[in-house]
Amino acid sequence: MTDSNQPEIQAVADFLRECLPFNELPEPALQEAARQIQIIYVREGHQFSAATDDYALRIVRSGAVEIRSSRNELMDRLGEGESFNIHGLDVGDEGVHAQVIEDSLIYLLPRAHYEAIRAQFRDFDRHFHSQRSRRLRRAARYQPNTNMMMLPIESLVSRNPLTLGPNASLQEAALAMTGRRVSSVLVMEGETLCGIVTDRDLRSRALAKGLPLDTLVSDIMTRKPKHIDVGASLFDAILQMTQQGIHHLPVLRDGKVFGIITSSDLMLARRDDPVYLVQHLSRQTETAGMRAIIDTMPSLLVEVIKGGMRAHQISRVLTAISDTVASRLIDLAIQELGPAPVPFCWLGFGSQARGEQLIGADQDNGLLIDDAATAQDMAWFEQLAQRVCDGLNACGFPYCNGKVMATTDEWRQPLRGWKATVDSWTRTPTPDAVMRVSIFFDLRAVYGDQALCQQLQQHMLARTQKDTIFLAALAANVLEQTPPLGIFRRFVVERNGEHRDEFDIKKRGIMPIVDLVRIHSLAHGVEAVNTRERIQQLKQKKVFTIADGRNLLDAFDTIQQLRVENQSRQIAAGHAASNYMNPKDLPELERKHLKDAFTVVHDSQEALRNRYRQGL
Amino acid sequence: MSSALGLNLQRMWWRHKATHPILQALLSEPLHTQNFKDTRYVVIDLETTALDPNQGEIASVAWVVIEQATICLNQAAHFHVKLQREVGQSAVFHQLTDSDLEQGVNLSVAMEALLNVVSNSVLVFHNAHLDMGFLNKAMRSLWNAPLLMPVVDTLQIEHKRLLQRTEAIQVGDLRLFQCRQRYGLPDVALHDALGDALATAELWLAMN
Repeated sequence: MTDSNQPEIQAVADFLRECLPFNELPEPALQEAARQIQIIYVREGHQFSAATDDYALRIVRSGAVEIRSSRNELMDRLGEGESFNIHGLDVGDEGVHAQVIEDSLIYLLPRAHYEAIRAQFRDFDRHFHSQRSRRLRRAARYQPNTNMMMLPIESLVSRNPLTLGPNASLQEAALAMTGRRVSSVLVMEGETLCGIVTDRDLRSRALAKGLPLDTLVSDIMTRKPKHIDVGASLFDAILQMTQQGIHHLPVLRDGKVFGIITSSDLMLARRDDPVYLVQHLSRQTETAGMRAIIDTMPSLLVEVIKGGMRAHQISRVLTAISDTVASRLIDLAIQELGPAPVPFCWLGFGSQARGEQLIGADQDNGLLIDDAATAQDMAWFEQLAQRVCDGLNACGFPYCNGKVMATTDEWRQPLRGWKATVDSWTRTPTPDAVMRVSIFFDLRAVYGDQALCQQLQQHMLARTQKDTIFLAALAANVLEQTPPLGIFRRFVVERNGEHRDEFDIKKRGIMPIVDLVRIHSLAHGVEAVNTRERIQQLKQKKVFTIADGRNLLDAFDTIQQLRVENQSRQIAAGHAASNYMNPKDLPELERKHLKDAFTVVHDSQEALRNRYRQGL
Repeated sequence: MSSALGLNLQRMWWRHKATHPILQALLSEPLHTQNFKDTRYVVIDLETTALDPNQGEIASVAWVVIEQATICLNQAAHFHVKLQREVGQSAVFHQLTDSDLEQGVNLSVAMEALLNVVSNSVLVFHNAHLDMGFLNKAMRSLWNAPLLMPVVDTLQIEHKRLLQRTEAIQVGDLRLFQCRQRYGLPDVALHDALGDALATAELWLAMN
């Protein structure tokens, strides 16, 4: 029993205990702080400033507050549990003020007590020196363990590769390779790499064809071979070999030959890695076999996250896996249906196009067909679409609810049809058209004729780049879909149903960034589709300042990282991976990071609003 | 007006009967009508062993003070009261046990402390009828007069507001935590009399 006139105010102490940096305080100091709190309720629009208010630490208990500079620039946005000392902020910039943007309950710690605590507890004091953007940057860059797969290949590269001039004979090549016990030779003209000959080339292109021993290596070599930069990661090398079905990659540094890396070099490093799955997948002949492999992905996700793989690397791997499944299904369908009557391209949309797929993605795909196709040819493609989409569904990539699939007529068209569709969408940007456009404008060739896809993409960029009305409609759509993020006091949690107290981190966190980066990209003719690459290019084109671009990239990486870690936790707890997250499940610091990231997103949306809404 | 008039008549009647000087003084204070900011409020919550003042006792009493539209927690107080009878069924509600309350103060100590802080104040309750019933009974048995003070009841105010909005009022809508939600106030864990007094005080701030 405590002294009745010095009661423990549990409700307040419990709240403070969840607030940085009060969580650092020992219990008696916390209880004492709680007893000194004064509480006020302020309406939206109320302002605090050094000139009009007492010196004190103000803690947002509920509601939201913006800190603005004397020039009214937004400096920070605070939600539940975050605090500010308006007099401290005023130093160096007179006229800093706090603007209440939602009715707020404010807990106020009077000056004497605030200063006493800062004097007594160093960590508490230090918190008020730290800056928000610095905190966020640290979070995005922090890597707990370096994953083996993400190491640069440099350490695995064989230096001093065997080289020969183009005029060496096949026999000389065979002798040299045998002498060095290697399976390939680089053909050089001076310093320039002009080809590669491998064991397999000697067998299939020379022996099998009965070429004489004195044939020149330049006659059978692979010209302008695929190569890789010495700074690339192990993952990059494996992916490139797997996708192109090759086993030898010359390694360049500054454009000059540095060494060579082979698939057996890489064997040492991979074993339990998801990239290995790509290879397994491409050998399956039935959907059941693919499904079995796909089903192991959740547990793999948990493993690679433990191993320190970052979200953007994970999503690249998972996208590569779903690309492989689609490609394999197309190959299998062609085996049954016979060869394609005209060139075509299998398109991936949305997260697959962007290379940002995670566990549980559904299908978003389409078929782009050469204009030469006849009605009969189109029937062939309809069958192809049916098989592939069914196959994807059977493999664990469920049908798209919005019917964005090659089986839908609108999403399976010859090039001229696609162009006409794009034209009509941009000409009359109805809400429905705008919604389709935002799906469609992230597209990538997954299989088939890349040139078709490029033509379509260029047509699209040419249409959109100068079209301010269309961009304004797109911007309006994007801004509408993402409610103001000043409401973090509830963390914009879903109020009803199964996901009460949770929020959809994809919808609320990732998509706003993806959407706004897409609009800027369309407006400025950026061809990249991956969000991180788009941000980089927008930075290069000076659409984003270096600081804004970096903040947005950090925000994207941070949210995506929290999203995959959340999925990993769900899987480890025996649940299906979803995008729903309960902010309460996050450690205090991560919750902070998420709020910081949301602040960046919100600011970028403001910028977008200013730039394109004026077109309306 | 009529209720203020009624209250004044009753206060006149009882002020001569009260046997405690502070209670006498309280009943003699002029009643001011002032705006919200200039009024001092004492927001009170009781925990009781039954819902009927004739059957239950006050188990604990707590209050927080609002001055200049600011809740000042350094004036908050919280008393556990030594019971005459055993806790009985209300232990289920309040998680109180007999031994918890053996360490409490006598009812007169808690009530005297309350008298000392309510001068020139308006009392605030969420469901005043219940708590005032207990307070008046305690005051009368101790000092021969009820605590006839101006009272604000956040539950009644909210009830009236919902009726004006012609919404159907569901069971539980007027509970303190449901009311807070409608004003966008944060959820708080169920605590004790002090926690509920604070929750009511925040609600009263938000209502003004």
